[in-house]
Amino acid sequence: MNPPAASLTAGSLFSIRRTLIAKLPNNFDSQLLQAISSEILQTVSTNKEINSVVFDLSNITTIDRFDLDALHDVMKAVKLVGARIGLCSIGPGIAALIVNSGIHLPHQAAGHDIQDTMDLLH
Amino acid sequence: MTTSIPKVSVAGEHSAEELMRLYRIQPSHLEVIRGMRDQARPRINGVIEHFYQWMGEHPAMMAFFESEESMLHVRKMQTVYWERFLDANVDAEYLRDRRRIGEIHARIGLPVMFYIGAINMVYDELKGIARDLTKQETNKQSPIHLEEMDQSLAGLIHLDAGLICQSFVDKRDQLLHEQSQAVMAMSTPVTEIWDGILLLPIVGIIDSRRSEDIMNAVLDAIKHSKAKEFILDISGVGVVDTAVANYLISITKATALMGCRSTISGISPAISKTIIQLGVETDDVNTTSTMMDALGESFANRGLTIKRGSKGKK
Repeated sequence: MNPPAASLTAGSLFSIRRTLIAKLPNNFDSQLLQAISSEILQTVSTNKEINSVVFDLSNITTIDRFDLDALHDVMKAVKLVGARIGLCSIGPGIAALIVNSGIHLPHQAAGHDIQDTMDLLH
Repeated sequence: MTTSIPKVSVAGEHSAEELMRLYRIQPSHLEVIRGMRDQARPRINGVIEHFYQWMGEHPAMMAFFESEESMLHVRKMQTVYWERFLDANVDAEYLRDRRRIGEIHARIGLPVMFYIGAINMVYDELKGIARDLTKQETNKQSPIHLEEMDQSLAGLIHLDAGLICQSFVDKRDQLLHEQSQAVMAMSTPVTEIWDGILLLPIVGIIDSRRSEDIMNAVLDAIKHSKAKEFILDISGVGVVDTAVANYLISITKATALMGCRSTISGISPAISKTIIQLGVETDDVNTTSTMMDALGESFANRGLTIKRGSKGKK
């Protein structure tokens, strides 16, 4: 693994080969998501090597509708700058919650872990 | 996460004092019953005899007695029951005994209707005894009036009936809860049939509760097995309407979020037509007509091939 490409207030952002990994902390709020979003968009725009972003949700045990909507917006923004989107390590409760909320996340791949998702993306 | 029928227990929450207040039973009422005891006790066998004559007129009740032996046993227990009633000692032990009787009735499936009928019959008999006693009492200085005896008997009989019926209901709720749990476990048998491949055959009716159970069971199984393929076979599902179709689509979407590809197999031509007529959006759902096809696809996706061995018959 390469050293972190960017630092976050909480959680972590790092790159593996051409993929940027965003590991979201539990109980994140919209402010933190804004910070994450800005860092991801900045990294994807300036680093032409990065062609995909994987959101690692392994730390997420609870999420409310408001934060889910905010996460949805972050993903849509990342997709707009041309990156492919992957999701990984979603727990059963969060998966059921996302489906039941009716939100359709704009991802191209979802895997059990980072490697699994990267394999699906590339 | 499973949903279940909540177990509510009311009978066990009240003390003897609380129940006495609830049924408006005064200590003097219990004294009246105890006063009847010596003269009523020799007549219990007669009351029980009348009870069995009455029961003989209701064959549905007789069906609850498996043999002559069980009938003799119940008869003996009834004698103990009414002796205890005449002792009128309403304490924790008395309440326990009555609740136990309700539980026994629930276990053998004796309808409450029969029990109330029987109680009503015995109550009439006891009132007859009370009438006889009041005739004898008229010669005494402070006779007990029939109305007072009737009120005393009615209070305790109703307390008994309340306790027995409530514990009957509690026991039935408990049995229902246990059965519900057992059915739940049987209705979502998610099995890892091969490395990374889960299979869930569904039989019967899918409603919102069952679909939630299925989703929870499948997602938990994916979490633990890290499965990459999930086959949901619905060949045993009789009816697929809009709600069922949407449940199935939700399940496949949720599994996809966890990195597991879903296939719905066992879609008959009739179900296929129904889904299209209902206008359910199925573009994102992978489907096959048979479980064999789904298995073939899943094996292929896992890089596995099925070959006929040398012992296989063509």
